[in-house]
Amino acid sequence: MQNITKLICSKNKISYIVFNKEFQTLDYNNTIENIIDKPSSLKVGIDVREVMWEIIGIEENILALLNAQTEETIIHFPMILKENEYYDLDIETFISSKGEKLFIAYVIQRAKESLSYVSMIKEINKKTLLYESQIQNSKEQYCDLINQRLLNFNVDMDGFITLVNNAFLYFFDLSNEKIIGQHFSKFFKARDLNLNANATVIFNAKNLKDEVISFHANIIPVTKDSIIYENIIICQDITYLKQIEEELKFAAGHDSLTGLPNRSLLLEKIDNTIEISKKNHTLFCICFIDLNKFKPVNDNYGHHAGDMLLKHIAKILSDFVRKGDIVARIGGDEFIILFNSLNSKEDIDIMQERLNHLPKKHPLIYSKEDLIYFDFSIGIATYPDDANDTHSLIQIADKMMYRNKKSRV
Amino acid sequence: MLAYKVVMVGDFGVGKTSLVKRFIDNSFSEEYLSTIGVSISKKDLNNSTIMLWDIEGHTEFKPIFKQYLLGAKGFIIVADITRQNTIDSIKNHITLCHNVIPDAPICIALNKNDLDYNISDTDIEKLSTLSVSILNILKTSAKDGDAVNEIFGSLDEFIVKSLGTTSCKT
Repeated sequence: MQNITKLICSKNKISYIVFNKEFQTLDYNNTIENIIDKPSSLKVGIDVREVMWEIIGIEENILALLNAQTEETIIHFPMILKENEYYDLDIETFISSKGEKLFIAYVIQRAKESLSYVSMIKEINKKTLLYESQIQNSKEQYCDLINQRLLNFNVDMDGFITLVNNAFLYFFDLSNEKIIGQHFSKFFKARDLNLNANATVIFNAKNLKDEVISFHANIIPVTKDSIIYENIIICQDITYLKQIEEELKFAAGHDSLTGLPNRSLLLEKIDNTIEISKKNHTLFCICFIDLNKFKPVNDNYGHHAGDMLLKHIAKILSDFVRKGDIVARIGGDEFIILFNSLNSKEDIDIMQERLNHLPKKHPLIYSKEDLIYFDFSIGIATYPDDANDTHSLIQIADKMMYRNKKSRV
Repeated sequence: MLAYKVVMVGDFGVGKTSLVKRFIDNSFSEEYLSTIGVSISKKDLNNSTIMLWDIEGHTEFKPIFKQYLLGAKGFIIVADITRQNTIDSIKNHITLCHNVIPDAPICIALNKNDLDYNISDTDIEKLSTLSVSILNILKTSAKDGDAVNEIFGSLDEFIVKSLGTTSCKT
Protein backbone atom coordinates (compact mmCIF):
# COMPACT_ATOMS: atom_id res chain seq x y z
CA MET A 1 0.00 0.00 0.00
CA GLN A 2 1.34 3.39 -0.99
CA ASN A 3 2.34 5.60 1.90
CA ILE A 4 0.60 8.51 0.26
CA THR A 5 -2.73 6.66 0.36
CA LYS A 6 -2.22 5.89 4.06
CA LEU A 7 -1.54 9.53 4.66
CA ILE A 8 -4.65 10.68 2.82
CA CYS A 9 -6.78 8.15 4.74
CA SER A 10 -5.37 9.26 8.03
CA LYS A 11 -5.88 12.93 7.26
CA ASN A 12 -9.48 12.43 6.15
CA LYS A 13 -10.40 9.97 8.92
CA ILE A 14 -10.98 7.21 6.42
CA SER A 15 -10.59 3.67 7.72
CA TYR A 16 -9.39 0.98 5.41
CA ILE A 17 -8.58 -2.69 5.21
CA VAL A 18 -6.58 -4.38 2.47
CA PHE A 19 -7.15 -7.97 1.38
CA ASN A 20 -6.21 -10.29 -1.44
CA LYS A 21 -8.26 -12.48 -3.73
CA GLU A 22 -8.29 -15.24 -1.09
CA PHE A 23 -9.93 -12.65 1.20
CA GLN A 24 -6.95 -12.69 3.54
CA THR A 25 -6.38 -9.48 5.45
CA LEU A 26 -3.04 -7.91 4.50
CA ASP A 27 -3.14 -4.47 6.03
CA TYR A 28 -5.44 -2.04 7.85
CA ASN A 29 -5.28 1.17 9.82
CA ASN A 30 -6.14 1.48 13.49
CA THR A 31 -9.38 3.40 13.08
CA ILE A 32 -10.99 0.41 11.33
CA GLU A 33 -11.19 -1.32 14.71
CA ASN A 34 -13.94 1.09 15.76
CA ILE A 35 -16.08 0.09 12.83
CA ILE A 36 -15.64 -3.59 12.11
CA ASP A 37 -17.85 -6.31 13.55
CA LYS A 38 -15.34 -8.32 15.59
CA PRO A 39 -12.40 -6.04 16.40
CA SER A 40 -10.70 -8.55 18.73
CA SER A 41 -10.24 -10.96 15.83
CA LEU A 42 -8.59 -8.43 13.59
CA LYS A 43 -5.04 -9.31 12.59
CA VAL A 44 -3.10 -9.72 9.40
CA GLY A 45 -3.82 -13.06 7.76
CA ILE A 46 -7.42 -13.58 8.94
CA ASP A 47 -10.35 -13.92 6.55
CA VAL A 48 -11.61 -10.38 6.04
CA ARG A 49 -15.22 -11.66 6.06
CA GLU A 50 -14.88 -12.48 9.76
CA VAL A 51 -14.66 -8.79 10.57
CA MET A 52 -16.51 -7.27 7.62
CA TRP A 53 -19.90 -8.96 7.30
CA GLU A 54 -20.72 -6.75 4.31
CA ILE A 55 -18.38 -8.82 2.16
CA ILE A 56 -20.22 -12.10 2.75
CA GLY A 57 -22.24 -12.91 -0.35
CA ILE A 58 -20.52 -10.47 -2.69
CA GLU A 59 -17.28 -12.40 -3.15
CA GLU A 60 -18.02 -13.02 -6.83
CA ASN A 61 -18.71 -9.35 -7.41
CA ILE A 62 -15.43 -8.43 -5.73
CA LEU A 63 -13.43 -10.95 -7.75
CA ALA A 64 -15.11 -9.64 -10.88
CA LEU A 65 -13.51 -6.24 -10.17
CA LEU A 66 -10.13 -7.93 -10.18
CA ASN A 67 -10.67 -9.79 -13.40
CA ALA A 68 -12.17 -6.75 -15.13
CA GLN A 69 -15.28 -8.89 -15.87
CA THR A 70 -17.52 -6.00 -15.07
CA GLU A 71 -17.83 -2.40 -16.06
CA GLU A 72 -17.99 -1.49 -12.39
CA THR A 73 -14.68 -0.44 -10.90
CA ILE A 74 -16.00 -0.02 -7.40
CA ILE A 75 -18.61 -1.63 -5.15
CA HIS A 76 -20.39 0.99 -3.14
CA PHE A 77 -22.65 0.45 -0.12
CA PRO A 78 -23.88 3.72 1.33
CA MET A 79 -25.40 4.35 4.74
CA ILE A 80 -24.43 1.26 6.70
CA LEU A 81 -25.65 1.63 10.27
CA LYS A 82 -23.26 0.57 13.02
CA GLU A 83 -23.55 1.61 16.65
CA ASN A 84 -25.76 4.59 15.76
CA GLU A 85 -23.27 5.90 13.22
CA TYR A 86 -23.57 5.73 9.46
CA TYR A 87 -20.76 4.65 7.18
CA ASP A 88 -20.21 4.28 3.46
CA LEU A 89 -18.25 1.28 2.26
CA ASP A 90 -16.32 1.36 -1.00
CA ILE A 91 -14.42 -1.66 -2.26
CA GLU A 92 -12.01 -1.25 -5.16
CA THR A 93 -8.77 -2.66 -6.54
CA PHE A 94 -5.26 -1.29 -6.54
CA ILE A 95 -1.81 -2.54 -7.51
CA SER A 96 0.66 -2.98 -4.68
CA SER A 97 4.29 -1.93 -4.79
CA LYS A 98 5.08 -5.56 -5.60
CA GLY A 99 2.79 -5.36 -8.64
CA GLU A 100 0.08 -7.54 -7.09
CA LYS A 101 -3.60 -6.66 -7.67
CA LEU A 102 -5.27 -6.32 -4.29
CA PHE A 103 -8.51 -4.99 -2.82
CA ILE A 104 -9.02 -2.10 -0.47
CA ALA A 105 -12.21 -1.49 1.46
CA TYR A 106 -12.63 2.13 2.52
CA VAL A 107 -15.02 2.83 5.35
CA ILE A 108 -15.99 6.47 5.53
CA GLN A 109 -18.01 7.85 8.38
CA ARG A 110 -20.95 9.98 7.29
CA ALA A 111 -20.84 13.67 8.06
CA LYS A 112 -23.14 15.04 10.71
CA GLU A 113 -25.21 16.79 8.01
CA SER A 114 -26.14 13.33 6.74
CA LEU A 115 -27.38 12.38 10.16
CA SER A 116 -29.75 15.32 10.30
CA TYR A 117 -31.00 14.20 6.89
CA VAL A 118 -31.54 10.71 8.34
CA SER A 119 -33.53 12.14 11.24
CA MET A 120 -35.65 14.12 8.83
CA ILE A 121 -36.41 11.07 6.65
CA LYS A 122 -37.24 9.02 9.77
CA GLU A 123 -39.65 11.70 10.90
CA ILE A 124 -41.29 11.88 7.46
CA ASN A 125 -41.69 8.08 7.37
CA LYS A 126 -43.18 8.06 10.86
CA LYS A 127 -45.71 10.76 9.95
CA THR A 128 -46.57 9.08 6.65
CA LEU A 129 -47.23 5.79 8.42
CA LEU A 130 -49.42 7.52 10.99
CA TYR A 131 -51.30 9.35 8.23
CA GLU A 132 -51.82 6.10 6.28
CA SER A 133 -53.11 4.29 9.35
CA GLN A 134 -55.53 7.15 10.06
CA ILE A 135 -56.87 6.95 6.50
CA GLN A 136 -57.14 3.18 6.86
CA ASN A 137 -59.02 3.56 10.17
CA SER A 138 -61.45 6.10 8.75
CA LYS A 139 -62.04 3.84 5.72
CA GLU A 140 -62.75 0.93 8.06
CA GLN A 141 -65.11 3.02 10.15
CA TYR A 142 -66.93 4.12 6.99
CA CYS A 143 -67.13 0.51 5.85
CA ASP A 144 -68.36 -0.55 9.28
CA LEU A 145 -71.18 1.98 9.09
CA ILE A 146 -72.33 0.62 5.74
CA ASN A 147 -71.77 -2.96 6.80
CA GLN A 148 -74.03 -2.54 9.78
CA ARG A 149 -76.89 -1.46 7.57
CA LEU A 150 -76.72 -2.91 4.07
CA LEU A 151 -76.14 -6.53 3.13
CA ASN A 152 -76.25 -7.48 -0.55
CA PHE A 153 -76.30 -10.91 -2.08
CA ASN A 154 -77.28 -12.57 -5.34
CA VAL A 155 -79.23 -15.83 -5.53
CA ASP A 156 -80.05 -18.03 -8.48
CA MET A 157 -83.65 -18.94 -9.25
CA ASP A 158 -83.52 -21.78 -6.67
CA GLY A 159 -82.33 -19.49 -3.88
CA PHE A 160 -78.69 -20.55 -3.87
CA ILE A 161 -76.23 -17.74 -3.20
CA THR A 162 -73.98 -16.78 -6.12
CA LEU A 163 -72.42 -13.53 -4.88
CA VAL A 164 -72.18 -11.59 -1.59
CA ASN A 165 -70.81 -8.18 -0.65
CA ASN A 166 -68.30 -7.43 2.11
CA ALA A 167 -71.14 -6.43 4.43
CA PHE A 168 -72.47 -9.99 4.21
CA LEU A 169 -69.03 -11.50 4.98
CA TYR A 170 -68.57 -9.03 7.81
CA PHE A 171 -72.00 -9.71 9.35
CA PHE A 172 -71.64 -13.50 9.43
CA ASP A 173 -67.83 -13.45 9.82
CA LEU A 174 -67.47 -16.06 7.11
CA SER A 175 -65.34 -16.33 3.99
CA ASN A 176 -66.79 -16.36 0.48
CA GLU A 177 -66.13 -20.10 0.16
CA LYS A 178 -68.40 -20.91 3.09
CA ILE A 179 -71.28 -18.85 1.70
CA ILE A 180 -71.31 -19.18 -2.08
CA GLY A 181 -73.41 -22.15 -3.18
CA GLN A 182 -75.38 -22.30 0.07
CA HIS A 183 -79.13 -21.74 0.16
CA PHE A 184 -79.93 -18.27 1.51
CA SER A 185 -82.29 -19.81 4.12
CA LYS A 186 -79.22 -21.15 5.91
CA PHE A 187 -78.44 -17.56 6.88
CA PHE A 188 -81.86 -15.87 7.00
CA LYS A 189 -85.19 -16.89 8.47
CA ALA A 190 -88.32 -15.58 6.79
CA ARG A 191 -92.03 -16.27 6.92
CA ASP A 192 -92.05 -16.79 3.17
CA LEU A 193 -89.00 -18.33 1.58
CA ASN A 194 -90.23 -17.70 -1.97
CA LEU A 195 -88.35 -14.79 -3.42
CA ASN A 196 -90.75 -13.07 -5.74
CA ALA A 197 -89.19 -10.50 -8.03
CA ASN A 198 -89.64 -6.87 -7.00
CA ALA A 199 -91.20 -7.93 -3.69
CA THR A 200 -90.05 -6.90 -0.24
CA VAL A 201 -89.73 -9.34 2.65
CA ILE A 202 -88.58 -9.27 6.25
CA PHE A 203 -85.60 -11.47 7.07
CA ASN A 204 -84.21 -12.29 10.50
CA ALA A 205 -80.62 -13.31 11.07
CA LYS A 206 -78.45 -13.79 14.12
CA ASN A 207 -75.36 -11.59 14.37
CA LEU A 208 -72.07 -12.57 16.00
CA LYS A 209 -73.40 -11.51 19.40
CA ASP A 210 -76.28 -13.95 18.87
CA GLU A 211 -78.77 -11.07 18.66
CA VAL A 212 -81.63 -11.39 16.18
CA ILE A 213 -81.36 -8.65 13.59
CA SER A 214 -84.31 -7.86 11.34
CA PHE A 215 -83.76 -6.85 7.74
CA HIS A 216 -86.06 -5.29 5.23
CA ALA A 217 -85.12 -7.06 1.98
CA ASN A 218 -85.70 -5.75 -1.53
CA ILE A 219 -85.63 -8.34 -4.28
CA ILE A 220 -84.37 -7.02 -7.60
CA PRO A 221 -84.51 -9.37 -10.58
CA VAL A 222 -81.58 -9.60 -13.00
CA THR A 223 -82.73 -10.36 -16.52
CA LYS A 224 -81.19 -11.42 -19.80
CA ASP A 225 -83.34 -11.37 -22.93
CA SER A 226 -86.33 -10.64 -20.70
CA ILE A 227 -85.76 -13.81 -18.70
CA ILE A 228 -84.99 -13.55 -15.02
CA TYR A 229 -81.97 -15.65 -14.20
CA GLU A 230 -80.93 -14.25 -10.83
CA ASN A 231 -82.15 -12.01 -8.01
CA ILE A 232 -80.19 -9.36 -6.19
CA ILE A 233 -81.28 -9.01 -2.58
CA ILE A 234 -80.54 -5.84 -0.67
CA CYS A 235 -81.11 -6.11 3.06
CA GLN A 236 -81.39 -3.11 5.33
CA ASP A 237 -81.15 -3.48 9.09
CA ILE A 238 -84.48 -2.40 10.57
CA THR A 239 -83.93 -3.65 14.10
CA TYR A 240 -84.24 -0.06 15.30
CA LEU A 241 -87.83 0.02 13.95
CA LYS A 242 -88.67 -2.99 16.08
CA GLN A 243 -87.18 -1.25 19.09
CA ILE A 244 -89.32 1.83 18.38
CA GLU A 245 -92.37 -0.42 18.10
CA GLU A 246 -91.58 -1.97 21.47
CA GLU A 247 -91.06 1.47 23.02
CA LEU A 248 -94.42 2.66 21.69
CA LYS A 249 -96.11 -0.48 22.95
CA PHE A 250 -94.62 0.08 26.39
CA ALA A 251 -95.57 3.79 26.39
CA ALA A 252 -99.19 2.94 25.49
CA GLY A 253 -99.56 0.79 28.60
CA HIS A 254 -97.49 2.72 31.13
CA ASP A 255 -97.50 5.97 33.02
CA SER A 256 -94.71 8.24 31.82
CA LEU A 257 -93.96 9.75 35.26
CA THR A 258 -93.73 6.63 37.42
CA GLY A 259 -93.24 3.93 34.78
CA LEU A 260 -96.09 1.96 36.37
CA PRO A 261 -98.81 0.30 34.27
CA ASN A 262 -101.60 2.79 33.44
CA ARG A 263 -105.38 2.36 33.65
CA SER A 264 -105.65 0.74 30.24
CA LEU A 265 -103.05 -1.95 30.98
CA LEU A 266 -104.44 -2.49 34.47
CA LEU A 267 -107.95 -3.16 33.08
CA GLU A 268 -106.43 -5.75 30.75
CA LYS A 269 -104.59 -7.39 33.66
CA ILE A 270 -107.69 -7.49 35.86
CA ASP A 271 -109.69 -9.05 33.00
CA ASN A 272 -107.01 -11.73 32.64
CA THR A 273 -106.91 -12.33 36.39
CA ILE A 274 -110.68 -12.79 36.50
CA GLU A 275 -110.43 -15.43 33.77
CA ILE A 276 -107.69 -17.30 35.64
CA SER A 277 -109.49 -17.03 38.99
CA LYS A 278 -112.69 -18.34 37.45
CA LYS A 279 -110.88 -21.40 36.20
CA ASN A 280 -108.88 -22.02 39.36
CA HIS A 281 -111.52 -20.86 41.85
CA THR A 282 -109.04 -18.53 43.49
CA LEU A 283 -109.43 -15.28 45.35
CA PHE A 284 -107.91 -11.90 44.48
CA CYS A 285 -108.49 -8.30 45.42
CA ILE A 286 -107.88 -4.84 44.13
CA CYS A 287 -106.79 -2.08 46.43
CA PHE A 288 -107.68 1.51 45.51
CA ILE A 289 -105.21 4.05 46.96
CA ASP A 290 -105.73 7.81 46.95
CA LEU A 291 -103.29 10.30 48.45
CA ASN A 292 -104.65 12.54 51.19
CA LYS A 293 -103.92 16.23 50.97
CA PHE A 294 -101.80 15.98 47.85
CA LYS A 295 -102.76 19.46 46.69
CA PRO A 296 -100.98 21.22 49.61
CA VAL A 297 -97.75 19.40 48.66
CA ASN A 298 -97.91 20.98 45.21
CA ASP A 299 -98.88 24.35 46.66
CA ASN A 300 -96.22 24.42 49.39
CA TYR A 301 -93.26 22.77 47.67
CA GLY A 302 -94.10 23.16 43.97
CA HIS A 303 -95.10 20.71 41.26
CA HIS A 304 -91.66 19.15 41.10
CA ALA A 305 -92.03 18.03 44.72
CA GLY A 306 -95.50 16.69 43.85
CA ASP A 307 -94.03 14.65 41.00
CA MET A 308 -91.24 13.38 43.22
CA LEU A 309 -93.78 12.31 45.82
CA LEU A 310 -95.78 10.34 43.23
CA LYS A 311 -92.59 8.63 42.03
CA HIS A 312 -91.64 7.91 45.63
CA ILE A 313 -95.04 6.31 46.35
CA ALA A 314 -94.81 4.27 43.15
CA LYS A 315 -91.45 2.95 44.37
CA ILE A 316 -92.52 2.05 47.90
CA LEU A 317 -95.70 0.37 46.66
CA SER A 318 -93.73 -1.62 44.07
CA ASP A 319 -91.29 -2.68 46.80
CA PHE A 320 -94.18 -3.62 49.07
CA VAL A 321 -96.08 -5.99 46.74
CA ARG A 322 -95.23 -9.59 45.98
CA LYS A 323 -93.89 -10.83 42.67
CA GLY A 324 -96.91 -11.24 40.40
CA ASP A 325 -98.94 -8.45 41.99
CA ILE A 326 -99.44 -5.30 39.93
CA VAL A 327 -99.18 -1.66 40.98
CA ALA A 328 -100.77 0.80 38.57
CA ARG A 329 -101.22 4.58 38.52
CA ILE A 330 -104.68 5.31 37.16
CA GLY A 331 -104.96 9.05 37.63
CA GLY A 332 -103.36 12.12 39.28
CA ASP A 333 -102.81 10.80 42.80
CA GLU A 334 -104.68 7.50 42.47
CA PHE A 335 -103.04 4.07 42.45
CA ILE A 336 -104.48 0.58 42.29
CA ILE A 337 -102.80 -2.60 43.47
CA LEU A 338 -103.93 -5.90 42.06
CA PHE A 339 -103.17 -8.59 44.66
CA ASN A 340 -103.17 -11.93 42.88
CA SER A 341 -104.04 -15.36 44.29
CA LEU A 342 -104.88 -14.76 47.95
CA ASN A 343 -105.50 -17.66 50.27
CA SER A 344 -108.11 -16.11 52.54
CA LYS A 345 -109.78 -12.88 53.58
CA GLU A 346 -107.42 -12.77 56.58
CA ASP A 347 -104.56 -12.25 54.13
CA ILE A 348 -106.37 -9.15 52.87
CA ASP A 349 -106.70 -7.73 56.39
CA ILE A 350 -103.00 -8.31 57.16
CA MET A 351 -101.98 -6.73 53.88
CA GLN A 352 -104.24 -3.71 54.49
CA GLU A 353 -102.79 -3.23 57.97
CA ARG A 354 -99.23 -3.24 56.62
CA LEU A 355 -100.15 -0.94 53.77
CA ASN A 356 -101.57 1.63 56.20
CA HIS A 357 -98.21 1.79 58.01
CA LEU A 358 -96.14 2.43 54.87
CA PRO A 359 -96.46 6.27 54.70
CA LYS A 360 -95.23 6.78 58.27
CA LYS A 361 -92.22 4.55 57.63
CA HIS A 362 -91.22 6.14 54.33
CA PRO A 363 -91.63 9.93 54.19
CA LEU A 364 -90.12 11.59 51.11
CA ILE A 365 -86.71 13.13 51.75
CA TYR A 366 -87.10 15.95 49.25
CA SER A 367 -84.01 17.88 50.33
CA LYS A 368 -81.75 18.15 53.38
CA GLU A 369 -84.23 20.56 54.93
CA ASP A 370 -87.50 19.19 53.55
CA LEU A 371 -88.97 15.92 54.72
CA ILE A 372 -92.42 15.51 53.15
CA TYR A 373 -94.85 13.35 55.10
CA PHE A 374 -97.81 11.92 53.32
CA ASP A 375 -100.80 9.71 53.93
CA PHE A 376 -103.26 7.80 51.79
CA SER A 377 -106.72 6.25 52.00
CA ILE A 378 -107.42 2.70 50.96
CA GLY A 379 -110.47 0.90 49.58
CA ILE A 380 -110.55 -2.82 48.82
CA ALA A 381 -112.81 -4.95 46.62
CA THR A 382 -112.51 -8.72 46.52
CA TYR A 383 -113.22 -11.13 43.70
CA PRO A 384 -115.61 -12.97 43.66
CA ASP A 385 -117.27 -11.86 46.93
CA ASP A 386 -117.72 -8.13 46.10
CA ALA A 387 -118.07 -8.34 42.32
CA ASN A 388 -117.06 -10.56 39.43
CA ASP A 389 -116.24 -8.01 36.71
CA THR A 390 -113.49 -5.44 36.38
CA HIS A 391 -115.59 -2.32 36.23
CA SER A 392 -117.63 -3.21 39.35
CA LEU A 393 -114.56 -4.23 41.33
CA ILE A 394 -112.90 -0.83 40.68
CA GLN A 395 -116.11 1.03 41.45
CA ILE A 396 -116.55 -0.78 44.77
CA ALA A 397 -112.90 -0.28 45.77
CA ASP A 398 -113.23 3.41 44.90
CA LYS A 399 -116.34 3.76 47.07
CA MET A 400 -114.63 1.98 49.96
CA MET A 401 -111.62 4.24 49.64
CA TYR A 402 -113.88 7.33 49.62
CA ARG A 403 -115.65 6.13 52.73
CA ASN A 404 -112.34 5.59 54.52
CA LYS A 405 -111.05 8.99 53.44
CA LYS A 406 -114.15 10.69 54.84
CA SER A 407 -113.74 8.98 58.16
CA ARG A 408 -110.07 10.06 58.34
CA VAL A 409 -110.24 13.67 57.17
CA MET B 1 -19.88 -23.05 8.71
CA LEU B 2 -21.85 -21.83 5.71
CA ALA B 3 -22.40 -18.10 5.73
CA TYR B 4 -24.77 -16.42 3.37
CA LYS B 5 -26.68 -13.19 2.87
CA VAL B 6 -30.43 -12.68 3.04
CA VAL B 7 -32.06 -9.31 2.38
CA MET B 8 -35.30 -8.11 3.91
CA VAL B 9 -37.29 -6.24 1.26
CA GLY B 10 -40.56 -4.37 1.56
CA ASP B 11 -42.31 -1.04 1.83
CA PHE B 12 -41.50 1.19 4.75
CA GLY B 13 -43.28 0.54 8.04
CA VAL B 14 -44.16 -3.10 7.33
CA GLY B 15 -42.07 -4.44 10.19
CA LYS B 16 -38.85 -5.67 8.56
CA THR B 17 -36.68 -4.47 11.45
CA SER B 18 -39.14 -5.88 13.99
CA LEU B 19 -39.02 -9.31 12.34
CA VAL B 20 -35.20 -9.22 12.39
CA LYS B 21 -35.19 -8.17 16.05
CA ARG B 22 -37.63 -10.93 16.97
CA PHE B 23 -35.52 -13.49 15.08
CA ILE B 24 -32.10 -12.31 16.27
CA ASP B 25 -32.70 -11.54 19.94
CA ASN B 26 -36.37 -12.41 20.49
CA SER B 27 -37.33 -8.85 21.32
CA PHE B 28 -39.99 -6.38 20.15
CA SER B 29 -40.64 -2.67 20.51
CA GLU B 30 -43.93 -0.88 19.82
CA GLU B 31 -42.03 2.24 18.83
CA TYR B 32 -41.65 2.76 15.11
CA LEU B 33 -38.13 3.77 14.09
CA SER B 34 -37.74 3.94 10.36
CA THR B 35 -34.63 2.21 9.04
CA ILE B 36 -32.44 4.43 6.90
CA GLY B 37 -29.68 2.82 4.84
CA VAL B 38 -28.94 -0.71 5.98
CA SER B 39 -28.30 -2.54 9.19
CA ILE B 40 -26.59 -5.93 9.06
CA SER B 41 -27.19 -8.62 11.69
CA LYS B 42 -25.74 -12.06 12.09
CA LYS B 43 -27.36 -15.19 13.43
CA ASP B 44 -25.74 -18.57 13.85
CA LEU B 45 -28.09 -21.42 13.05
CA ASN B 46 -27.47 -25.18 13.27
CA ASN B 47 -25.49 -25.59 10.07
CA SER B 48 -25.14 -22.07 8.82
CA THR B 49 -24.69 -18.42 9.58
CA ILE B 50 -27.24 -16.05 8.19
CA MET B 51 -26.30 -12.42 7.48
CA LEU B 52 -29.50 -10.42 7.50
CA TRP B 53 -29.53 -7.14 5.59
CA ASP B 54 -32.33 -5.05 6.98
CA ILE B 55 -32.61 -2.36 4.36
CA GLU B 56 -34.51 0.90 4.11
CA GLY B 57 -38.08 0.32 3.00
CA HIS B 58 -39.50 1.43 -0.27
CA THR B 59 -41.43 4.70 -0.13
CA GLU B 60 -43.32 6.67 -2.73
CA PHE B 61 -40.39 9.03 -3.07
CA LYS B 62 -37.43 6.71 -2.56
CA PRO B 63 -36.93 3.40 -4.33
CA ILE B 64 -34.96 0.53 -2.82
CA PHE B 65 -31.24 0.86 -3.44
CA LYS B 66 -30.49 -2.13 -5.68
CA GLN B 67 -26.85 -2.39 -4.64
CA TYR B 68 -27.88 -3.66 -1.20
CA LEU B 69 -29.38 -6.76 -2.81
CA LEU B 70 -26.07 -7.77 -4.37
CA GLY B 71 -24.91 -11.27 -3.48
CA ALA B 72 -28.07 -12.29 -1.62
CA LYS B 73 -28.84 -15.99 -1.55
CA GLY B 74 -32.46 -15.38 -0.67
CA PHE B 75 -35.01 -12.69 0.11
CA ILE B 76 -37.72 -12.18 2.65
CA ILE B 77 -40.31 -9.84 1.20
CA VAL B 78 -42.36 -8.29 3.97
CA ALA B 79 -45.79 -6.68 3.67
CA ASP B 80 -48.14 -5.31 6.30
CA ILE B 81 -51.21 -7.55 6.28
CA THR B 82 -53.37 -4.59 7.37
CA ARG B 83 -52.19 -2.29 4.52
CA GLN B 84 -53.31 -3.46 1.08
CA ASN B 85 -50.90 -1.10 -0.72
CA THR B 86 -47.92 -2.89 0.86
CA ILE B 87 -49.34 -6.24 -0.33
CA ASP B 88 -49.83 -4.81 -3.82
CA SER B 89 -46.13 -3.82 -3.82
CA ILE B 90 -44.98 -7.44 -3.41
CA LYS B 91 -45.06 -7.97 -7.18
CA ASN B 92 -42.63 -5.06 -7.76
CA HIS B 93 -40.36 -6.24 -4.98
CA ILE B 94 -40.14 -9.70 -6.55
CA THR B 95 -39.21 -8.13 -9.90
CA LEU B 96 -36.52 -6.02 -8.23
CA CYS B 97 -35.03 -9.00 -6.37
CA HIS B 98 -34.94 -11.13 -9.49
CA ASN B 99 -33.40 -8.32 -11.55
CA VAL B 100 -30.44 -8.42 -9.18
CA ILE B 101 -30.39 -12.17 -8.35
CA PRO B 102 -32.41 -14.14 -10.91
CA ASP B 103 -34.40 -17.07 -9.47
CA ALA B 104 -33.32 -16.40 -5.88
CA PRO B 105 -35.68 -18.04 -3.38
CA ILE B 106 -38.23 -15.76 -1.78
CA CYS B 107 -40.32 -16.07 1.35
CA ILE B 108 -43.22 -13.69 1.83
CA ALA B 109 -44.07 -12.50 5.33
CA LEU B 110 -47.49 -10.92 5.76
CA ASN B 111 -46.63 -9.23 8.99
CA LYS B 112 -48.74 -7.68 11.81
CA ASN B 113 -50.95 -10.74 11.91
CA ASP B 114 -51.83 -9.76 15.49
CA LEU B 115 -53.95 -6.85 14.16
CA ASP B 116 -57.34 -6.97 12.40
CA TYR B 117 -57.07 -7.41 8.65
CA ASN B 118 -59.39 -7.93 5.71
CA ILE B 119 -57.38 -9.96 3.20
CA SER B 120 -58.93 -13.39 2.57
CA ASP B 121 -57.02 -16.68 2.47
CA THR B 122 -57.88 -16.97 -1.21
CA ASP B 123 -56.22 -13.64 -1.96
CA ILE B 124 -53.18 -14.74 0.03
CA GLU B 125 -52.97 -17.95 -1.96
CA LYS B 126 -53.10 -15.93 -5.17
CA LEU B 127 -49.81 -14.27 -4.19
CA SER B 128 -48.01 -17.57 -4.71
CA THR B 129 -48.69 -17.28 -8.45
CA LEU B 130 -46.51 -14.18 -8.65
CA SER B 131 -43.30 -16.22 -8.95
CA VAL B 132 -42.19 -19.83 -8.99
CA SER B 133 -39.34 -18.82 -6.67
CA ILE B 134 -41.72 -18.21 -3.80
CA LEU B 135 -41.03 -20.85 -1.17
CA ASN B 136 -43.85 -19.93 1.17
CA ILE B 137 -46.18 -17.18 2.31
CA LEU B 138 -46.66 -16.90 6.04
CA LYS B 139 -48.76 -14.65 8.20
CA THR B 140 -46.28 -13.41 10.78
CA SER B 141 -46.34 -11.28 13.89
CA ALA B 142 -43.11 -9.78 15.12
CA LYS B 143 -45.09 -8.71 18.18
CA ASP B 144 -46.30 -12.18 19.16
CA GLY B 145 -43.53 -14.09 17.42
CA ASP B 146 -46.00 -15.97 15.18
CA ALA B 147 -44.26 -17.83 12.34
CA VAL B 148 -41.09 -15.72 12.66
CA ASN B 149 -38.68 -18.61 13.24
CA GLU B 150 -40.57 -20.66 10.65
CA ILE B 151 -40.06 -18.16 7.86
CA PHE B 152 -36.34 -17.69 8.50
CA GLY B 153 -35.94 -21.40 9.18
CA SER B 154 -37.59 -22.48 5.93
CA LEU B 155 -35.46 -20.09 3.88
CA ASP B 156 -32.33 -21.27 5.69
CA GLU B 157 -33.19 -24.91 5.06
CA PHE B 158 -33.69 -24.26 1.36
CA ILE B 159 -30.51 -22.21 0.96
CA VAL B 160 -28.34 -24.62 2.94
CA LYS B 161 -29.64 -27.50 0.85
CA SER B 162 -29.05 -25.68 -2.44
CA LEU B 163 -25.63 -24.29 -1.49
CA GLY B 164 -24.32 -27.52 -0.07
CA THR B 165 -20.65 -27.12 0.63
CA THR B 166 -19.98 -24.86 -2.30
CA SER B 167 -20.48 -21.66 -0.38
CA CYS B 168 -17.83 -19.62 1.31
CA LYS B 169 -16.78 -20.53 4.81
CA THR B 170 -15.90 -18.05 7.49
